[in-house]
Amino acid sequence: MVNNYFKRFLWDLLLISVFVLTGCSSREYPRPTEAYYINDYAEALDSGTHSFLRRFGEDLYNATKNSDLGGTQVVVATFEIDTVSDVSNYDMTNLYREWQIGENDLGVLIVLFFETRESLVEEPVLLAVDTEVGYRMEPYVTPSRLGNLLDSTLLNDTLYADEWMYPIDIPLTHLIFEVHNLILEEVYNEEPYAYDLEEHREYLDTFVFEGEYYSVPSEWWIYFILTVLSGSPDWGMLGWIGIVFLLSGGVGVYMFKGAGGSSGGAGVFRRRR
Amino acid sequence: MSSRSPLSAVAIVSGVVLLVAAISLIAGYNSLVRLDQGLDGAYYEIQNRLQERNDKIGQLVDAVSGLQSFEGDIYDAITSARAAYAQADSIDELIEADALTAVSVSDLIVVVEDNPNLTTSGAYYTLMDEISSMESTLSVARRDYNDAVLNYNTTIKTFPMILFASMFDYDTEAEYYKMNDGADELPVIDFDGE
Repeated sequence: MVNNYFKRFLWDLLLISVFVLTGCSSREYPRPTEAYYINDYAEALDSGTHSFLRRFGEDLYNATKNSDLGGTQVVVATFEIDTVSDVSNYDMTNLYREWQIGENDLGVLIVLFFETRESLVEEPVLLAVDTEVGYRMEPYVTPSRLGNLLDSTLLNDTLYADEWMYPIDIPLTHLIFEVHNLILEEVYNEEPYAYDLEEHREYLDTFVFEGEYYSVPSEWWIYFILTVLSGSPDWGMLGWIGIVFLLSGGVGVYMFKGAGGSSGGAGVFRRRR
Repeated sequence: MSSRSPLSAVAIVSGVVLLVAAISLIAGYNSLVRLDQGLDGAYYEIQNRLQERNDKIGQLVDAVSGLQSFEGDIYDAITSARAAYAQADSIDELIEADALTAVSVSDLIVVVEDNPNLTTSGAYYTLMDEISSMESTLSVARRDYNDAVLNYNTTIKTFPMILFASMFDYDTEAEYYKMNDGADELPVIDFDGE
């Protein structure tokens, strides 16, 4: 009997320790989401865009990771801010390094800053765009090239003046197509991707949302399943603690898709005109 | 029942002590090398970025057609900064050359922004994107170097690293990359032209 109480005490102690330890790890920026290639913290993008950017980002990385140079990762993030001056609270280099984008520093981070909304019913208002390019990507995705791409796609008010259905999604997708193509041509000497934005619009129109990307399977049901499978609540608890520990970044690798890249401050910034 | 002589016990203890000392010496030396390499790497990164900036500024000024005729002084400032960089032999001289170039970059931006013919051209955005990114990379390189210096100085002043540093003749204090107040700030670039 005493032995059982002691065991229970040890499990509880372990559980509390895991919560305390994982809670103590302070982070300047949020972790990248499970989707990694799209981190829509401002909740400004369509679910079809989430799905597309994730798949497109994974495809580029998978297609390039076995090359001599290494695999490229193009990551998009959105954040809400009150005013444009709040952009300075986000250190793009630190964010890039924390998310470790791109193999051998071959990566691009694109961050869209939206005005804080009272509710999700309001239309998101794009205030600024900031970018960060990995060390080894600098000779290819130069500031002038990236600036030109931003101006001709995402921030092209002339081209997208009548875009009322997807005012952010289509211009952003346009930018991503162009950035991918620049990388394919300049870095890997590959043929550019033949894209059609009208086709993409149809894809968005017909996209059916089938699941939440950001769910982390660390719920209590894991405990019950493990308990049933192992035939012991103790093993169930141990397994659950282990999974929570891993998912919460206990070893800093599980669920994390960054390829170890770093950057040195190269990139361009644009305030929405 | 076995018995050991006092001599063999002393030999074992001495052996263990020597082994621990040797291991800690090796570990300490390796730590020093890593710290020093980190510092050198960060310093070379600043040099690379400065070199890039020096190379780029001239190209950019030439690329913006019409700029040459507006301000001859910019060329003089850039030439002086380049000469200072080429002659820089110590970290202090490098900082001085860096500051001189930063001033010439700021002057360049002022001249460009004061000129409506230039600010409306596409070349203006190209120029500003390149300069802004260049200054940002330099700023990150300076920060990384100073972080490496902080790490070096903090580690090396703790015991027993301070002993190893003096034993292996490593500096006990590395010099920070200190610019004058405001000299390392990014030039204010207004893309809206407002």
